[in-house]
Amino acid sequence: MILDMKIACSLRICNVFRWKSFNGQEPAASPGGDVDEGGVMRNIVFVFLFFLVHLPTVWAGNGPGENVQGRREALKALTRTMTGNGASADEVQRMVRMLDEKKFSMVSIESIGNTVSETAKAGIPIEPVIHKAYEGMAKNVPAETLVKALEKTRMRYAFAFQRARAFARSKDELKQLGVVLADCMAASVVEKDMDQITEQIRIRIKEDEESNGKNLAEQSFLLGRSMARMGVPSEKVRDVVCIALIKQYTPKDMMELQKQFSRQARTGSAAKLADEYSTAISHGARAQEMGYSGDKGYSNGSGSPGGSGISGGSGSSAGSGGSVNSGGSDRRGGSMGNGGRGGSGRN
Amino acid sequence: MKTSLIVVFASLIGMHGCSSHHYKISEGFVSFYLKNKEAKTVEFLYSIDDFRDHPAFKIKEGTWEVRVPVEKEFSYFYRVDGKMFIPECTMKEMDDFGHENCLFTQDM
Repeated sequence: MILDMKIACSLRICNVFRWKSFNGQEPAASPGGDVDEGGVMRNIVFVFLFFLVHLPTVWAGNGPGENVQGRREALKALTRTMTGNGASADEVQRMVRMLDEKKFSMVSIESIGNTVSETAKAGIPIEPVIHKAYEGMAKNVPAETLVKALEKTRMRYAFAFQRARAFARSKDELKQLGVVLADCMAASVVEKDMDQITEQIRIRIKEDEESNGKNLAEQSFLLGRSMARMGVPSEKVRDVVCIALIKQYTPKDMMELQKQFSRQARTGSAAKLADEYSTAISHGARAQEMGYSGDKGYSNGSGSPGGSGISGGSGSSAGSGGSVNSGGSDRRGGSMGNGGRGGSGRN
Repeated sequence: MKTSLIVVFASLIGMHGCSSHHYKISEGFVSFYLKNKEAKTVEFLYSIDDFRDHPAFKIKEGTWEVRVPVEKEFSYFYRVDGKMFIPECTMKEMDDFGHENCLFTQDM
């Protein structure tokens, strides 16, 4: 029926052009001598309808070369390539079917396919990339934005898994830890800060070879993830986690700190609370003591415990704080320095 | 000047009041409530099922409810009258499309 309509539309268009271009004269007059205005209007309406029927296909990116059969074959080939690279057939087929239904161009689908293939080849789970595609479709984002977002997701997971490899002892641990690190980044912790936290964990593991590196890394990044998700800026997340690591917090302490933070941040500014945590931890407070900082005078009033670096010294009445990345063989010794006593506090 | 400031503040308060959002957990399900008096349709989309549409139901004037099982943590957003809507929420993450998603975790 649609095909008939298209043919009818095409014939009508031919008529319009024939009438305008080939005759080179005004349309034939009706026997009464009047121009057949009804006919002209009908033709215009048909031309309009023709474009109405075909424009969505053009907008969706189906160029002239993308005939239905060719597209179907290309999609099959792309699916084969992705599964050949290690992606799960069910996941991939479903995604491709949905992209096809949403009329994404072959170029876009191929780009998405390449991203999935690259992810699978690198031994990184493809699910986050595929789920991102569904999310983009649900949000009706343009194809170009979707392709970029998928690539961003792939790169985030590649970074996270690469860093997680340093602490994981098995494939399961790698997957578990890699996802936590990637979540941390999705919550807006930047690569530079992720690296500083990673480095601090490495130092801790070197100092204490018996410690469970995976657990320490996992709990440290879970703390970072919670803080970032609650709106704490990346550098403040890094500060709290690194200072806690320097102060020999155990995985259990990190877990406790995360609990306390999640509970307390609901009733106030998460960023300010992070500042208070940094100061308190640098003064020796343990995780269980958080939330009672007023009694011990840990919390700083108006200043922050440091500017750049982990405990750098220009905070409230701060002394000479070092920096985690200040180099030297014994970072532990120099890193906290005399972080400065908190200001007036919040008692 | 004073009047215009009052108008700006009033409209900001009004806008904020237009769409407030909360949830309740009970018996393995979480119910999300969105207050929006102007909305004609509200849908809830979450990561657990790859962001399929879950229509929210108007339970009283201006309050919409949707109920989903509590399994693991998930990200979510609403679609109000066909447009994406991210409410104020305790936990958020970037969505890679230039916006954010709300996050639901059981320990929230």
